[in-house]
Amino acid sequence: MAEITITQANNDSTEIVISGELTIYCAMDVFQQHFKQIKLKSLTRLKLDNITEIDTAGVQLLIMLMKIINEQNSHYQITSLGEALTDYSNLFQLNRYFIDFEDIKVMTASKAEVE
Amino acid sequence: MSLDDVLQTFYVEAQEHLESMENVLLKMDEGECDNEMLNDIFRSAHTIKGSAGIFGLDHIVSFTHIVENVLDRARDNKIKIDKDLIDVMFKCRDHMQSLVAVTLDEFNGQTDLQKIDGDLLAALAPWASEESNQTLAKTSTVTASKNDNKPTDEGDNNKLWHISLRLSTDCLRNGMDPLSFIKFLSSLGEIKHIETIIDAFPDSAHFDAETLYLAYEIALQSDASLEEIENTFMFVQDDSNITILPPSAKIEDYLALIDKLPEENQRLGDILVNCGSLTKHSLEQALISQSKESTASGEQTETHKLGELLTEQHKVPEEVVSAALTKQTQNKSKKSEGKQIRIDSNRLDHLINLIGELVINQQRIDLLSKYTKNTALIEAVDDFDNFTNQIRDAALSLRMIPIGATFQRFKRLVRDTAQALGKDVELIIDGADTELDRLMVEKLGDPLTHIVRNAMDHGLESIEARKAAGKNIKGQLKLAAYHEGGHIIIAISDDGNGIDKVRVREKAIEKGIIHPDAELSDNELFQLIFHPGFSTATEVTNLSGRGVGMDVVKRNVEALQGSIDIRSQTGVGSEFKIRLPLTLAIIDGFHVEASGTHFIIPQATIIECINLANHQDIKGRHCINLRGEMIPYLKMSEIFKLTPSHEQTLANNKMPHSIKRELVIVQFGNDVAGIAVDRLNGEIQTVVKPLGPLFKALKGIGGSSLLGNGEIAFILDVPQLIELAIANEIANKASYLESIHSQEK
Repeated sequence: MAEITITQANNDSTEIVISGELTIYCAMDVFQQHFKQIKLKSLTRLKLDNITEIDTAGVQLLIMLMKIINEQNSHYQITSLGEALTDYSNLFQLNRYFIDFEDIKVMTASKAEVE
Repeated sequence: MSLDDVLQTFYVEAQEHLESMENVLLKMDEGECDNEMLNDIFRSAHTIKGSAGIFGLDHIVSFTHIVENVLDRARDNKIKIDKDLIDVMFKCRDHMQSLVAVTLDEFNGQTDLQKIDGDLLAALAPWASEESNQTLAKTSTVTASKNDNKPTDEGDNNKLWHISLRLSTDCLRNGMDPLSFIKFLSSLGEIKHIETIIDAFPDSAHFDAETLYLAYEIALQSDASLEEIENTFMFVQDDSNITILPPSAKIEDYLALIDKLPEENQRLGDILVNCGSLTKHSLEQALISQSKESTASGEQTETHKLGELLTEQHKVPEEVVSAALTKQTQNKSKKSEGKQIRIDSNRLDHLINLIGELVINQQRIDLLSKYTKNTALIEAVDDFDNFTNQIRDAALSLRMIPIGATFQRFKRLVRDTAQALGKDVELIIDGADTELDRLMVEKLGDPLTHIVRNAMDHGLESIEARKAAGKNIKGQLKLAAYHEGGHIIIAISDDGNGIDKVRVREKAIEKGIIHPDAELSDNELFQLIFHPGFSTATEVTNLSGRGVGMDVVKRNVEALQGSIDIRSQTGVGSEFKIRLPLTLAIIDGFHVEASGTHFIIPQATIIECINLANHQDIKGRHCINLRGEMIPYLKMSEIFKLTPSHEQTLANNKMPHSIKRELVIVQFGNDVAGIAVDRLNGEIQTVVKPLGPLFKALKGIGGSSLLGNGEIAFILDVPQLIELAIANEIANKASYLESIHSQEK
């Protein structure tokens, strides 16, 4: 099971630490309990290096989290990725999603324009 | 389809492929070997590996990969299939069966299985490629197989496939992760590019964490075939939109391939799929489009043919479609052959049970209609009766399966047993198409195995002994199935030394089974081998055991309402003949009454009915002289200790002449006996209901049935009753002779 720690810092930033197994078995709970109603400050720091296992449901959760960050006009910084996420990211060639946030921003913005 | 369902399908299909592998190996063992057989066995191994990879069953993948590699080298004529390789392949196939039966975690916990794994891979090493051996030395995980299918020429863009994946949104929920597919694809070649598309993501308010929103566009460089790539997605094809575009191909190649297609029923789409022109899924889409177009246009306008539709969608060049159409026309006459569907056997059993109830209700309606004496109603009920019979027969035929598959399994048993015993044995199979109730086929496996092993161990002589006897050194074992007088006969015969009658007799006396003075016919003598604990083998082998099996064999066969006869001739051979009823569910019976209790006698066993009063009863014995033949008989009222009801006693007292003694003469195998009853009520179709455990000890009753009027009837177990009648007759005769002797003294 994944463990999520969300800390609202005084310097107008939010730190989200995800550790453990981020998989389909906990994805629903993690989203409902931690991400759905999350309030983010202008900077969101993501610490992902303690994720020991991740599957596609887990990756979708991270992409959704980035969308939420974008929706709330926050910026993000990934402080560390960790081995499990790096492996997944390499296989699916997802590095740009996790490294360059601008892509997400552009993609979601262009979609909004189309709609 | 849930993950459990898909896994279940994998296990069933893996079993089928393993059986297919065994059949090919057996043919190879007999000296046959051609490209088609090599392709078949390779395809089986490859499919098992591919499907296992999708489920992350790496222990199966890593082992099967090496097996597949060896088979592939044999296909390419790099190695020769010889006896040693066949022996190792048999063991590998068995090991694959063991691997399929365990999960990865279970495999990791079983050191003995891992040892076999290692031993067999080492045994395969002389035939495996350098690369495989290196892979084997390094690691045994699925990733080890990655390089095997990778193109050697990195710049060869002709090998570039494009795969577009729009997987079912329920994919994750059903336990399927795109991760497995991508991992497996990378074992087929090199993923040049993968584009993960997130456009389908909703806003956070509508996000469902278990729904798949990601889509993928993949460029794969691989030597793999369309079928191989398509198989990666076989478990998610139903609800997904998957398009696989093969590397550019020349039209002439397609046409040549169509010409080469085997003579079997193939639809146009299948031909194109085999050609690699389009994927199965694209075909399904085209079919759906065709169906939609057909619905929309109605009957007024002519609908587009599938071929036209595919051409319009630019999926297949027109020349290919026309060539495929020609091929399809050639095969049209065979169109209805070989169409099969897989049905859960429980559903079939449920249907048979319901039809059983229908038969009972039909009998009730029949009875009630006769009370009304309404001719029109009676005629209508007769028609209904006719249809009920047809439905019953059709339903029962659904449960019939050919015995061939069971017989085929013995090829392997015979091969291995012959090898273990150092004998040369040829198995001949006859009547493999003979159909039997599925339940019986399942329960016949063990008894047949035991008889076959016994025949090979004790019946067939060693090579030296056969040479000395002037026989062919190759012993013959024959498994045959055929119909005989409403029964199915399964005969297991050999051309061995026959049963040693003297030895059987000595052994029976030694074990105290018979008296030293007992005079026994050949048949009685042979039946002794079914006695618990009987064994004539001077040397106990671990193949046919210690004589604890043949009594179980007999019991198992009798549990199926069958019997076993033995014929044997010294020096010539033996035959074990298992006689079985056609079905166990519904039987045609003869309804009789004794002391107010209803009985059903299976009609196939009845020879004739006679009036007991017209035949002379032999003094002191339940035996009559019927046209010069002594027939022992049983009185139902005595055997089952029946007492007539109060009403019946009153009725009998009023009209004593109404009581008749009827005798039903029955036959089972070579034995004949009579069953004395009070009344014959006629033919009846009856549904066999098993008796509860309480009645297990009751001899002579095989089941029960509900009559149309709601009363219960007992179905007689004729073999047991005949046995009882003969035993009683022997006892009566002995006591009668004793009483005469004592009177004379």
